[in-house]
Amino acid sequence: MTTVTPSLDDIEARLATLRATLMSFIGSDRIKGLLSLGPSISVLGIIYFLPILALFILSFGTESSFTGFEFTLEHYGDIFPLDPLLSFNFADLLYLGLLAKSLKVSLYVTIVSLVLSYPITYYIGNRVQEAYRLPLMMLIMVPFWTSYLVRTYSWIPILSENGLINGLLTTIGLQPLQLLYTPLATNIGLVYLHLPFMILPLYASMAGLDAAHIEAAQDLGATRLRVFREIVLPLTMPGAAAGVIFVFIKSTAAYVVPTLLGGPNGILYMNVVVSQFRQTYNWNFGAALSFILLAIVLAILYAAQKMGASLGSAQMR
Amino acid sequence: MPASVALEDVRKEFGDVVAVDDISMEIEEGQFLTLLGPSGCGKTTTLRLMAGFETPTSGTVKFEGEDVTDAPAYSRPSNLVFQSYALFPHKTVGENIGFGLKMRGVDKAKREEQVLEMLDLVELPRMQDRSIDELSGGQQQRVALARALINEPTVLLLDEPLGALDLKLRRNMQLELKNIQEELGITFIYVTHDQEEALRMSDKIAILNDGRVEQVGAPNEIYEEPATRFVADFIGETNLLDGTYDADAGVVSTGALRIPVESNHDDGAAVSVSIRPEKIRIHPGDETSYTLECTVDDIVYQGNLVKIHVSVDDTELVVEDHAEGLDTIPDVSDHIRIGWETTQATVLQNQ
Repeated sequence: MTTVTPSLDDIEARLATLRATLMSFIGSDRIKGLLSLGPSISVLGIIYFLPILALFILSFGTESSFTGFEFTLEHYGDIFPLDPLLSFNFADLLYLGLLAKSLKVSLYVTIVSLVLSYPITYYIGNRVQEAYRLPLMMLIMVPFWTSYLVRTYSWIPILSENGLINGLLTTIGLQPLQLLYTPLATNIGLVYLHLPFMILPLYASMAGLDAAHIEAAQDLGATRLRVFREIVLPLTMPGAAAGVIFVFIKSTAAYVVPTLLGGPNGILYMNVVVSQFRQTYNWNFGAALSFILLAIVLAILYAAQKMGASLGSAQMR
Repeated sequence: MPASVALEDVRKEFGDVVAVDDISMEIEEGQFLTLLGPSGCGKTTTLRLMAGFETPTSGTVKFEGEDVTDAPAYSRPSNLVFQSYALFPHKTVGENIGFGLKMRGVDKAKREEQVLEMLDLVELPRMQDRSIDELSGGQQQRVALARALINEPTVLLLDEPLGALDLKLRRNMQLELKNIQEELGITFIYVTHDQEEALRMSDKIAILNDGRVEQVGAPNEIYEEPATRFVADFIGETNLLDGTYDADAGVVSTGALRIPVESNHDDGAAVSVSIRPEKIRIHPGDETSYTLECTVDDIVYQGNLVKIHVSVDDTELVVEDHAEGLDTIPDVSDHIRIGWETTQATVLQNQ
């Protein structure tokens, strides 16, 4: 067997090609792109994905930290108990029942916010003179520079038994109503807190509407209602969609409002999650509850997006 | 028969600004009327008052004798072609054109049939399924026209509809618009600031200035017999000489010149004499009623035409002539004789 000793020139030539390949690889757009994304990816990774990953791992762990980490599915088993599920005994599905209630409340709050935001943003974005638009938007936004706790508490004297509304009712000779510590109070509080998250993106869409499009529709015989249905609604869909996502997600995560305004029977899913972290110190179970909510919200948003896209293309046709 | 559109003392104020200052006019059915004027003269506001997008501060708007002053835009028998076209970006070409019919409750099959007819009329066959942003500016313009015409309006209002097109396309569309108007026989009210466009297309032109109508007339009337100094100055090019009218001598004194005119103004009235550059002859014959000696200041050769700037004392004049009609083109600082017929000098009251 003969060994071929490569000559020095040969090695040098190979090294040169290797270096060239390496340099062109490093110099390629893909690597440059990745390198330039590096800082933002690291920041996002550290402050965003790492905690979520930690929670995810935690949700599969045992409760005791003394025995060290042991893999278990018991937390997810507690949320989806097999016996009541198989026997259709849905009343025993404590956590899923609360989750359904939370999603229902979020849906109400989102719909009411959307319905309220349309006239407000249409008026400010199209009807009001340009000079008054910013001041009016500021009026809507200024209360939200104070703490949401203060803003939530401020509803108590309005809704309470001897509060503002009941005071007015009794003055005109009507029976006082139980408003505070009811689901209605929770809904009112959530709508009030989350309305700006609907108004802002919707206002951006409204302000972007071309007044000539509305006039053209009127000129072609469209009444106010039809102008809204045919022109305003489809052209502001992107803003409405952004607002719906904001408000829905924020509502599913609400726990202060149901506690303060909803009363002892008004707790929602997120109250249980928070109590796992704050009172019972069962972080593993709390993490599992969080992940169920995350998964369901993502699934709903995905389905809504698919539905919106197919609706949009159907309208095009 | 009542006028297709009539404005009676229509006034529109925006705060302190008077956009339309007591305008009255009548537009006959089937007429192509152009509202012409510089920007800010109130022509677009006048059009929007007719369309129903603005309510007059005072006065009456009538369509075929019927008072529509307070009627909303959607109930008027007029349609507007917008300067920006205002095509609905989320609808196809077909849906845009059929929009007016949809609003009137015409069923889908009938709508589609009429949309196809309209696409043929504006020469965009088989484009009904295109989206708006796939179209060129000229095509969008045609869609905007079709969207208005499909409703068979008795009056079509057009707000500088060709403003965004390049010159060549503009010329073609001018002819096409005129043809469509003649074919359909409906009243067109057309807003433009382009006098050439107005002269080319209109049956009648209304010259607007500062919210008021300066003159309404056929294109040649407006050009040949301007009613005011503004009209003479605004339409085409003219020599405007300010002076005083001497009724006894029948002349207007301006600087050192005493220009003979035919006029029935008061003696001593402050007037302007307007003489179009092409009406002034170089080296006029003896039969020409008014001639004068002047100095050539500048010569602008324009191919078929030659423009000669001359002066007499302090008075400057522009003379325009066909280059080939001249035996020799004079040189700068030559002394030449020019002249014009007295009938070509229009005397206008000075405000």
